[in-house]
Amino acid sequence: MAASERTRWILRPQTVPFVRQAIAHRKRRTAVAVSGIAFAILVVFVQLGFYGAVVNTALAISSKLDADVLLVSPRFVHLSQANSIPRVRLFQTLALSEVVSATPLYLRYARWREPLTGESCKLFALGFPLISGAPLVLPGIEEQLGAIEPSNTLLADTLMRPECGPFAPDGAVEVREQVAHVTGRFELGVGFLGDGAILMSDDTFARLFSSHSLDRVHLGLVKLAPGVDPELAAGKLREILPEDTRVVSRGELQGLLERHWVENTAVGNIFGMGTVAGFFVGVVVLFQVLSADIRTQLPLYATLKAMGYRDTKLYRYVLEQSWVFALLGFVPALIVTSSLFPLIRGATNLPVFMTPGLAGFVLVLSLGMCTLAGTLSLRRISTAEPAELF
Amino acid sequence: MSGEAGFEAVPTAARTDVAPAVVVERLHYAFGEGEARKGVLFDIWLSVARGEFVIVTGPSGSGKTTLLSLIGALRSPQEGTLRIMGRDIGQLPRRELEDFRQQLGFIFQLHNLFPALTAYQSIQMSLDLHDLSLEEKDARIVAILETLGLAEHLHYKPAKLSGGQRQRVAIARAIVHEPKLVLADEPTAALDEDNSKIVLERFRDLVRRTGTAVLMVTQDARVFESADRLIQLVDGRITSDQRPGD
Repeated sequence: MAASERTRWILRPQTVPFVRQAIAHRKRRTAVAVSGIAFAILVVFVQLGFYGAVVNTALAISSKLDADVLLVSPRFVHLSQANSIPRVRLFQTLALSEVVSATPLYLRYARWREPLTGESCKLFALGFPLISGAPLVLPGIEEQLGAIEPSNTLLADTLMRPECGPFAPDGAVEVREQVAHVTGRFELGVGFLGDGAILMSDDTFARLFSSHSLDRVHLGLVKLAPGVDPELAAGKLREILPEDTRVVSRGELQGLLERHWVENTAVGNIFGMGTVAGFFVGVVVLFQVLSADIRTQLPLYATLKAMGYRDTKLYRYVLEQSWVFALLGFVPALIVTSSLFPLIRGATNLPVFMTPGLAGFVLVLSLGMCTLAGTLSLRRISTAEPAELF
Repeated sequence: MSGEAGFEAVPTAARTDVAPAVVVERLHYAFGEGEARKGVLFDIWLSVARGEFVIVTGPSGSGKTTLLSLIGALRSPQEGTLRIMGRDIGQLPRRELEDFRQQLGFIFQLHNLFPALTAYQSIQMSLDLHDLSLEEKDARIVAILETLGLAEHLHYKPAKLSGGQRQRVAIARAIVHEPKLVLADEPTAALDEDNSKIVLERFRDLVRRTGTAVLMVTQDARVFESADRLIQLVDGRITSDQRPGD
């Protein structure tokens, strides 16, 4: 036997590649199945992308806070509905030797108007005492703190909606009907929280939000000495602070925010439901294709049963087909979504990203979707009755 | 073996040193339930030795096909005993029944070939159930397709084959693994005289060479001469069992 002939023998499958043949033979049916599944997976990808943006929204600011432990109101709901605690609670934390600093953070939505275009935007404003340093760990912020020392100056998020401006050469904008100037930029992106974020000194915050007293703090950022266990320190703080203040770790705060955004907001629910809907669209499409296929080939499956093929073997054929359809549908959906997400980001500034985690999760979901559809259609196989062949 | 109907089974010249391929005793079968129940087979007694070629004939609705499906373990006997290759198939659990069918070869009136598979692959589907090397499978498939006049059509799918060619592929699929018992329902109905002869010669060769028993249902009087025994079934009862020419 020649070497090439030997190789052909070695590479040949030991049994008939039944699934491959069935998929390759019925090209139209395969195209219908794969298109339907690819569309369903695309829907799942987009929904999960937006769902991820909701989660990213929850973490956008909280993950950047320069703090080990946080003080919030017991009635804290989320950052824009934080309620407040007395500023004095921050001073009280300094009684603990483990605490290095406690910085007040003031949070509010601000209506911003671009004077040249008249465009109005809803921005999330963060105020803090400049002396404490930047409350967010972001590149370039610390160096720009001097630029927001003058009254009514602020740093603006580069990821705010482009039409929000500012377009005037001196960065002039209207914030709560007062003139302010953008004197520096930082890159954050707040997703569904607003059209962008602005950072300012507590003095400017007090000017712009004159109704709010700086004695009432929305978030207390507590920094601990190096090596101190935040959980331990949080426990001690709980002991010394009264019930009007809640002490949470960074993880707890992020958990609170994530739960709020995912479970209690319309966007979280809409995208969660959208994912479920996409999943079931895929199940229905593939179930229809597989069921119709099995129905038309029922006598052929019955013949295999008569030959001695076990039901379990035939089930495997159907499930393998559904898995191949899942993979064939997943690849184009991944390619399209990978091109689509940057466009969505560009158009909306929402933090919608294709990550290996998302791709892997959707792949598992796709396989699950097709396994469910395949399993539902297996019932038809059991109706293949070899006795009817004679 | 004698039945209640007084029918005497013909002694065969085939192998008698092992259990017969088929033993049917006091077999009754009916379709439906209650008032709709309709008897199809009545008090069937039959023995087919290994290496015997038996033709079952009779008018339409006489129960030939039902008898074939019962012997092939595709239906469960309701009354009476069915022993195939010494095993009482009425007592076999489902899983063992599935494995048991691998020892049989079925030829149906319709070829039932998968449109996606070539003639070669359709036949290999049968051999894939058995522990054979790829080389052995290849040799068997090529040889059987050659003897059935399909050497040039190895890699043709059913759509490219004529009705007769498809039927021959189905026959090859049923006998390529040299089953102990072949159950064939009108296998030559779609074939012309020459191809019918080729197929019958294959059956005879299988019977001779491997001791396979063949039970074939047909109304084609041209092929009666090929059989060792000819059984007549009328209204669900065996009315004659004789050697052709007797």
